[in-house]
Amino acid sequence: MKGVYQLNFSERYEHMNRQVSPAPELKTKILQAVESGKKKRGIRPAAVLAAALACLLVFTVPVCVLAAENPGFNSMLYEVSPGLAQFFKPVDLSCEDNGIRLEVESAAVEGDTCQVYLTLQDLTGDRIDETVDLNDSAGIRQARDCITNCRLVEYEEETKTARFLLTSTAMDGGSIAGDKITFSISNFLSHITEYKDVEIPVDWENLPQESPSRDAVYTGGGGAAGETLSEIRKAGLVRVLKPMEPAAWPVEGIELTGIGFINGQLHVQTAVKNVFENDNHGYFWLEDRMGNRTECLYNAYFRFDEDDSALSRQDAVFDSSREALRGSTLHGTFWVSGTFTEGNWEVTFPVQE
Amino acid sequence: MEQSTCADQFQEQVVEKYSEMVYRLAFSQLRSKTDADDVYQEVFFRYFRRQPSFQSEEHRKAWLLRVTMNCCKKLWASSWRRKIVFWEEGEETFSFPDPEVNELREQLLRLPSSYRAVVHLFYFEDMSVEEVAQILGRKPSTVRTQLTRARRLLHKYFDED
Repeated sequence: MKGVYQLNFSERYEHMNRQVSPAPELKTKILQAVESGKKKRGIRPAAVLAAALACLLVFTVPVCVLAAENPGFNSMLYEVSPGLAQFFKPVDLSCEDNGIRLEVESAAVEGDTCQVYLTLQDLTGDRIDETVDLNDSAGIRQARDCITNCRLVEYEEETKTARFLLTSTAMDGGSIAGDKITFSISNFLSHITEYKDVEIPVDWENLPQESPSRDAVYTGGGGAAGETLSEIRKAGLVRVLKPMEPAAWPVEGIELTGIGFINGQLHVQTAVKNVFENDNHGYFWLEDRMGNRTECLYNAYFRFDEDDSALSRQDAVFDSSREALRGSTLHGTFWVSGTFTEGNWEVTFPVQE
Repeated sequence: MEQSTCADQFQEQVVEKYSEMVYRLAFSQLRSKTDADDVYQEVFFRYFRRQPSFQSEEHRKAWLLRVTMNCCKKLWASSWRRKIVFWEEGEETFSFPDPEVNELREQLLRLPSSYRAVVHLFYFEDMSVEEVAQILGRKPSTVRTQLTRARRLLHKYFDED
């Protein structure tokens, strides 16, 4: 049995977490509270003090002025009481930075759900188009816990304006009317090109029986091969093709760095540079002579120790031998973003029935 | 009476089944055991108060994980409260018997909170990148980037692999 010092990260992390459990009396408390219909919880001194401070601020300091003129103060107030911070946050229905304007167009609320239309417009250039993607940079601040999502609903070519619909639903089912919402974006992607059903010509007969390969640090992946992935995850290492010089192929923004066999399985390898400024990705599949499709067994994302941190590598692995591949063709669909735009955009608006 | 007994038993089963999952995720995000205790109670209290309906057990699991993360975020927001906690006497700090494990815990707490969540769900809950992305409401590419960055920050533990 391995000592703690000989375990890899995955094993160490598991070993640590196995020692963490809720006290049995906590479980009992929960079930009793549910039965009695109220939560059994003492009021902690810290909560009393925070509430007292909030009251002190409201009655002795011109909070609305401070909140309007001092973003730092608003941040501090947010840490004391998010509800109070949002209450005093000045309404700001539009914001402009880097030649791009974010604006609240309209908001409607019904019960526990509000829907808000926001527009993002390029005032000086051509950075917004129908493929604009907020790249997970959107942030939402509300006083209460909500489930929110934001999606693109329309793009106007003439005005270079993208319209988004933000939907927010209170988790406690209570009315959301009267709340103030702060919505922010820090970057977005656009000019995303889809390369649909690209056929990659491969001469299977000319591939070596076993291609040069090496171990790499596993950073993520997925697929149907749950047991294989589980073993790879525990080991933290995965066997992948040794990258070659990128082959010429039509997908700009994704490099094809290898196709070959490892232990009788087909690997197709790609690499993406500057991953913090794009979301270039895709997937492969095989088609036989009859047009029947075979998906990959799993994808493994990995890196080598010498890699730049902004480089992302992937092997797509198929459970297909060279003999089984006769007559088959390799295909893929990919998405590559063309423009990455940064800025500080933030709007705050009330939600009213 | 019989229906009520069955419902009670089901509630107990839900708590039994997901207790450790909820608690360990909360503990991975927060500094103290007391905070984890609070979030743990809050999550199940919300579950029983809302009585949400689920299409599958996976759905229920995902809901509990999401609510746990939301409750942790709410707790982080009260940094004034954290300062008060340090002044309290007898504050319950959790210490592992093994100093190496304590060191790992300290290193993990130094990670940005968003990285701690992906590390926990990926390495301990054994979720795929896509599943982690769905729970946390992020894109798979964001999750992969955060895992990469977390591994760099914890390089000592991965270099030894």
